[in-house]
Amino acid sequence: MSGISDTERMITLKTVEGTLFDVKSSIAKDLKTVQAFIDDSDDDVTSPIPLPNVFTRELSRILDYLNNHHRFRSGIEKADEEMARYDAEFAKSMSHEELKALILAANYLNVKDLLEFLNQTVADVIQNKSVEFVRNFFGIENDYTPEEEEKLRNENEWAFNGVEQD
Amino acid sequence: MDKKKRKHKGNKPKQQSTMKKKQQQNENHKSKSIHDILPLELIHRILLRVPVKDLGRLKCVSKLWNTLISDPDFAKSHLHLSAAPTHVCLFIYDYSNAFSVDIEAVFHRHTAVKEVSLPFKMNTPFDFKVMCSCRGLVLLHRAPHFLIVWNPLIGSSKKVSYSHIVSRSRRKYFMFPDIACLYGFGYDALQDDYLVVVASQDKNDQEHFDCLSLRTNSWTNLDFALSKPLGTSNWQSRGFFLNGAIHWASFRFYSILIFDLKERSFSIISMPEQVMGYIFGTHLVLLGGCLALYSNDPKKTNIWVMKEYKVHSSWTFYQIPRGDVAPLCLSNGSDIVAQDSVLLPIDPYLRLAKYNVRGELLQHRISYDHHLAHVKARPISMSSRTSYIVYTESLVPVPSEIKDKDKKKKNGRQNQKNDVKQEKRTRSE
Repeated sequence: MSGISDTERMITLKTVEGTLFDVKSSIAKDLKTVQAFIDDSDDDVTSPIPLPNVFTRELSRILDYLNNHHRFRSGIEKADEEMARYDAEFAKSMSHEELKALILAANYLNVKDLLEFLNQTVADVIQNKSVEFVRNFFGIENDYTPEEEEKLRNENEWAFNGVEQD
Repeated sequence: MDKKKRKHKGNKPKQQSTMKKKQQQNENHKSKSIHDILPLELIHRILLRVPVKDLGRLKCVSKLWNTLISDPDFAKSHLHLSAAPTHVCLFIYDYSNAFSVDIEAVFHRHTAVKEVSLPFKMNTPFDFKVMCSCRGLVLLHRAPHFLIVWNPLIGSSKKVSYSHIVSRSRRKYFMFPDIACLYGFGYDALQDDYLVVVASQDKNDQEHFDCLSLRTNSWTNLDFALSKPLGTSNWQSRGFFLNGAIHWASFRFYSILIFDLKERSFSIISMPEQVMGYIFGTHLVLLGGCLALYSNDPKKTNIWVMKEYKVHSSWTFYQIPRGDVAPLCLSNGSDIVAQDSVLLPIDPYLRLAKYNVRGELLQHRISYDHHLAHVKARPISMSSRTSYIVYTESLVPVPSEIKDKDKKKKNGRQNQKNDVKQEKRTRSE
């Protein structure tokens, strides 16, 4: 182990498109997949770490989120409100496609807090929406026959009151 | 990047061609994600955060989703994760009619009050009473000697007899659950079983303690736990389940009786000293996942909440400047929602009010819903013909022994398959 403190070390990550990102090792710790790679390596990691499943757009968003959250946490007390505002904006700024892509990237990189936040965001999106909407969102094909679906809806009639129309 | 130009052959399986179509669409729109479809593991984690009510609808999304949501393990995980469970109050009046009230929603929507159909209902006006609730399951008593476990949200229910307790007792008609006995309903996490416990006296005034396992539908005698007589008439009948134990409040001593379902033993903790002088009117209730006591004065209601379980110094006092109020549950973590039992001349049957921690009235709701209009004709007081319980909605199904049956079936089928295989082999030889 070298004498340099962790916060000064930089890690380079390479996305699918070949874009390079320099990341502080304190931030890289939150990318558990990357951290595991670093821990497994015998020598200090100097060359860029390739991320074959992560695109530039997603990595950029993830790092943005992590950098901001680190800033909020290390700062003064009032950061809770700022953080909530940032999170709300962050969630709103994405289309459903982008949200899904980000979840996949966060899952691959194992960014725990962000993943929980994104899961909650999706749960909030699909709340009170129709079954069709949810199918479209997740790209799921309906494998029920009309009769089967009718029967299922009747059995779960309690759940169909007060749903938003598409 | 030749995929755009490649044409589909008709033989490819449906799923694959849909994926490829989407890939094409994505590339056409210069979108960057290859996989449009989230893996099941992620969907599972997202669904754990969706409210119970929405999950009922989402069963219709696809067969896979139905299997996922209907899985009892999913219901359990969802229950544990639930940040803001929905509190519902179930009222039974005139012994066989029932309605439910979504306690948070009732202040915003008139659809929060609903008539409900009790399970195992007979045409004759049988005696139904609500006894307890636990993890979304409600325990009902139905005359003459039945216990019914019911999840009102998903409709799952089952009926078990306690006639052996009746025949052992002094009375012919047991008057369960009112007189001289204790009852409780709880969850044993270790065995993943729901238990009903009953303390009663037999013809010779001998105390007995029995436990019903809802997984096996069988009663076990726990008389060994009664090292000291309980004095069943000293305690208020209805037990409340919390932290793996059932709790009963005393009529006489300033204490709370606790039966630990895992240890199968009794213990006692004290009520706050302030309760002195109120003891006859002091009732136990669960508020915000904590044990709480309340008592009524003509003009005020006193509430004590034990904020830290079994920590005597954590009893916290609240007061509502209105008499005859029965707290039901907490809203937003600190506001108290209560049923106001005072009847006005025009006789509303439902009068709910929300108070903050300083006892200030925030909102109130008097319910005159038209579809329950026939109720208005008679005054509903909190008499013995009316009972109510607060429960939190969950997807937990009523426990059954189906799992074991399925295992047997599977093994049976496999054995048959093996037999067939063997038969074929010998033939070819």
